[in-house]
Amino acid sequence: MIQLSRLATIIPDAPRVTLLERFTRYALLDRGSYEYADDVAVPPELVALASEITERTLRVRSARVLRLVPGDYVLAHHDPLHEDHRVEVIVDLSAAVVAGPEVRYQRRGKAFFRFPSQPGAASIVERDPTTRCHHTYVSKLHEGAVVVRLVVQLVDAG
Amino acid sequence: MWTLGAAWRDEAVLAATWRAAQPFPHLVFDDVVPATPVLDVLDDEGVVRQEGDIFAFEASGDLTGLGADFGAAFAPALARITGKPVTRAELRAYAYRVGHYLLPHSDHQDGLERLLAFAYYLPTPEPPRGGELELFRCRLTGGEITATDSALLIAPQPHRLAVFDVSDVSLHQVREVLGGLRLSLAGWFYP
Repeated sequence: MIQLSRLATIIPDAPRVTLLERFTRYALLDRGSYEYADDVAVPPELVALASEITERTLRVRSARVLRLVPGDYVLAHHDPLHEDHRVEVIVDLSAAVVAGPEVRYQRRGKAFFRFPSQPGAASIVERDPTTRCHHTYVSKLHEGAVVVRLVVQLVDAG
Repeated sequence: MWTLGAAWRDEAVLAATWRAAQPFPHLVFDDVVPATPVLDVLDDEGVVRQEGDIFAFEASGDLTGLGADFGAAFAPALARITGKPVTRAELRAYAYRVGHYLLPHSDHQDGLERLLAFAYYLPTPEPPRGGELELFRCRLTGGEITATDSALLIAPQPHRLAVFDVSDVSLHQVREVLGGLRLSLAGWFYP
C-alpha cells in the first residue's frame, strides 16, 4: 500500500529509554563522525506512540543510538534512501540542551523539517523514497557538549 | 594583477614536489602578493551566509573578472607543473567567521571537469584561530573509501596559495574557525 501521509512532528515527552554505554566510533569522515551503539531496547511505548500518531501498525526495523561530541556530524549522503515509506523516530537522550546541533530532513532536496536539541522529546517523521536526513555539525565552541539520539526505523507490521 | 615570484622558477622541482606530496598531490606557495590588493577589488562584492550539511560560511557569487585574471596568471605554469591541462579558473570569495566550517569532501563531481582546486588566503583585521585546510589520507577497498585519516594541516596564512589535486580521494576540509576571521579566494582550475 502506498502511504501518502507525510507526517513530521515533535513529541515533547517521549517514553524513557535505557541506554547501555557501549559506543563504537564511526569515522569515514566523508560521511560522518560520531559514535554509535546498536544494543538498544526500544520501549514498546515508543512504537505504540508512533503507531497511534501515524495511524499505522508499526514494528521496529532497526534502532541505533548516536552520540555526537564537538566536531561530530552525520552527512545527508550517509543516510540511505528507502522505498518502504518507513517511519523514523528520533528520541533526544542528551542530558542537556546543546544550542545549534539539530536533525534536518529534506524531501526532493528541499528542507521540510528540523528537530532541534530538546532532551526528552521525540520527532516522528514519515519518510518517502526521496527523504534524507542529516545531523548537523556540533561546534567545537560547545566544549563538553554531548548529543545523544536514539534513531528508530519503523515499518508496517503487516 | 598577479605575477609569479621566485618560488615558481624551477618548475622541474615543483613538478617533483607535486608528484611526491602526501596524502595527495598539492603545492603551497607563500608570499603570493598581487599588484593590486585583492581586498580593494572585492570592495563592492558582497558575501552572503550559506549553509548545507557540509558547510556554513559566507560566500560571494562567481567573481568572473578576478577568476579570469587568476587563471591567466597561474594556469599555464600549473599545467606544466602538474601535467593537468588547465587553462582557466573560476573563483569566489569566502568569509569564514567564528563557528564556520567546511566538512570533509572531495571536490570531484562527474561532469564538472574540475582538475585542480585552490585556496588563496587574504589578510584580515583579526587573523583566524582554526580554519586550517586539512588533507586526509584515504584507503580504498574495491573502489570504496574504507578509512580516512588526517594527514596534513595547511594554515590560512595571508598571501598563501594552496593548490591541490581533484580526485575521488582528494578528501579535505576547512576546520572550524574558533576565533577571528578567515578570508579567502577559492575555486577550481578547468581545461
